Amino acid sequence: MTLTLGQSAPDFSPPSHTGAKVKLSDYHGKNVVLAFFPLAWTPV
Amino acid sequence: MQTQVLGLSVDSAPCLKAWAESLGGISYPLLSDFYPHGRVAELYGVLRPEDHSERAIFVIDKQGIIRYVDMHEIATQPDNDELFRVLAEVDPAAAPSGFASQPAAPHPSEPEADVILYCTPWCPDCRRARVFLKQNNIAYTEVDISRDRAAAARVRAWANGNETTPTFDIRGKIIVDFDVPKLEEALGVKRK
Repeated sequence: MTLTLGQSAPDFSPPSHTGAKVKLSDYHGKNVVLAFFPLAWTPV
Repeated sequence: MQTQVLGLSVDSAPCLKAWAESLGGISYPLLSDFYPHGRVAELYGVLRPEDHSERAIFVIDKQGIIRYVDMHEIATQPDNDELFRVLAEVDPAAAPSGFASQPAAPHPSEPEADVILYCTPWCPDCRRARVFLKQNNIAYTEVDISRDRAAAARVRAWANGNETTPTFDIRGKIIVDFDVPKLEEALGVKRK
């Protein structure tokens, strides 16, 4: 599945590094920068 | 602040916690897309066949609509200025005053020093390189290529297009990667 501009961002709620779950829809009313990065600890 | 940054990778939450601590703490949540593995990355179409995600940025506006997608060459860091420009377009009220970037790198021009270490704050070999230089009493200037795009471009030119860190400039001689024998030779130090 590929997303396109103008589409609603699919919701998700994975755990965060602090232990709390983070739900995308909790940030409704804010702009969100979602930054996928490949792997921690590595230069990639 | 009207903009929230969320980082996301397929690492486990304890791994991200340890990583965040090693970086001296991080001001936004790092989300663990660990189980089910890569589910969110897959949802957003950025899961690679190697089972980790692309380096990708999505800007989602206040209504939850995707406004910008940037898929980045995996070995390079996205340009913050470009991102701030996009944010300003998506929501002029949110940027840039309320969302100040880290100050630009202090020396955009080439630094003048005998030994220059091109590095990032997180690379383990950069840490080893700092220890190595200190142990050998070598004075050096550090350039963080994650914040200095001109420096990152110089490293790419030296390292076949990769942002390899650490990369050293020792009186004009370039050494890519933490290559101890080459460094010892260039610096004129002997292994103890």
